[in-house]
Amino acid sequence: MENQRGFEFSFTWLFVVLIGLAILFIALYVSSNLLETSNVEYQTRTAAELGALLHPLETSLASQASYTVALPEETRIYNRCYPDGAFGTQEIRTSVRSGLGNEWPRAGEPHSFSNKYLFSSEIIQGDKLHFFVLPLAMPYKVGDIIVMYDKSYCFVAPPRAMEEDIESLGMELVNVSAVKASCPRGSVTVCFDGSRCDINVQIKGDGSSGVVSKNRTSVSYYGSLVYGAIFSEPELYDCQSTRLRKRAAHLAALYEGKSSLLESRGCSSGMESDLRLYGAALLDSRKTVSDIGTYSDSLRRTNDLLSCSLF
Amino acid sequence: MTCLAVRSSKGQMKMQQMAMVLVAFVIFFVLVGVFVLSVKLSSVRESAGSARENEARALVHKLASTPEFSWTYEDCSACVDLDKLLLLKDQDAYRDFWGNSIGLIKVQRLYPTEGTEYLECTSSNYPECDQITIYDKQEGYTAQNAFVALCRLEGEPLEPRCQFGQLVAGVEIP
Repeated sequence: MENQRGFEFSFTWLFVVLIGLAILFIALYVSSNLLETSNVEYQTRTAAELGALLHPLETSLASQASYTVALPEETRIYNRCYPDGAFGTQEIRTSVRSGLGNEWPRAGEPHSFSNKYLFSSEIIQGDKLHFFVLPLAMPYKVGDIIVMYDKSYCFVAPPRAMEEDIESLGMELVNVSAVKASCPRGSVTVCFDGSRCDINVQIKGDGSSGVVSKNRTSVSYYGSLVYGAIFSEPELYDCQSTRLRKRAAHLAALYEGKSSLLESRGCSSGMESDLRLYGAALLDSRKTVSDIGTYSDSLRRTNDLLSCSLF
Repeated sequence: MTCLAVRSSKGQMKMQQMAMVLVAFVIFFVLVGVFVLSVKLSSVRESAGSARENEARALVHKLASTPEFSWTYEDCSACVDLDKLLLLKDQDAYRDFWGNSIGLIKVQRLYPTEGTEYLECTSSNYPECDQITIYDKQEGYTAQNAFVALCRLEGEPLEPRCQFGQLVAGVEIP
């Protein structure tokens, strides 16, 4: 009899314990999933808010600007660029330091743009983000070069035009120095005179184009793309400049159409074939950015002589 | 034997009671979970909606100065080039260029107008028309607008002429 009572008692408890464990397991599983989802949601929302912030950063026709954005918590921004498609894609993802569990939680879902060009390191980190924006004209305005950085830079004996840009923009964390020795300690040095710095800029011709060497890789630039080449990683720069060239080619087709419209109203520019060739050169990967700059200068000179200019 | 049968049925009764209580608990927690999830989902929808609305507001104010829209004959940040917009209308490449959530982009002439309704521009009726629709997904969206000057070169000799209009950008409702 005693054995039977003992058996009945232990089976009930076994049943309760098993069901209790199952409920506990389900509760823990659901709550950890909810936490993970809400974390991803937060990171994604931060990326979307940062993305919306990039719209007002863009300049009007020829202006330039610099901004500092203070973030409530230390944040990592992952900058990715994909050159495929009609205009390529700019993607940003964020990871906000939570202070709990993992130091840097998994980044949220990406926020993508086709019409933005963000030049930076692949990962930018901090509670303050520094931006400056410059328009790129090749020879018409193609887009805005948005530069984002988190390190201190020292420009050693830059050309006068660049020094004026740095002064007028009031770039934070960017110093200008006559000699490398007087640069602040720990800053990334940028040289223009052939001396050995972290980043070396070799200016060509009239000063609007050249080559930027960084991390044993060289990239060519034209106009304000020099800042993109200095502040971003070479792979990212290549991708963003390819995207800008694609947009410039679409704009060349647009101006070609505009030229035909103006011709029907009695003002022939005669630039249709030049614009067609320019569009083809922009999409030709064998042509460097400096080569494109030469075509662009020639187009600008022709346009400036027109009574009904296209751009 | 009789005593054992009574105990066994008592035990079964207890187990059934316990099972019922556990089922009730599970149903209760599932209902609470569904409620929490629906509240969370609606708040996510709300914040996605407000983020999209902010994006549309920012976009509509910056659209006039983008290279595809801008009037470059004079330095005017609130002027758009009607010729470029007419050409942009037929370009499929620009379909998702302004953002996946953007459902509508159009410019409308507000004064002078051709009639009571906005007459859509085509290559045959241009410039005797009131509206150029660059992109319209024709789905539910909320619209934001900004006043602009619609400019083109016309006359003999060609001179810049601008008219009063608005830029409208619609953002899809999540």
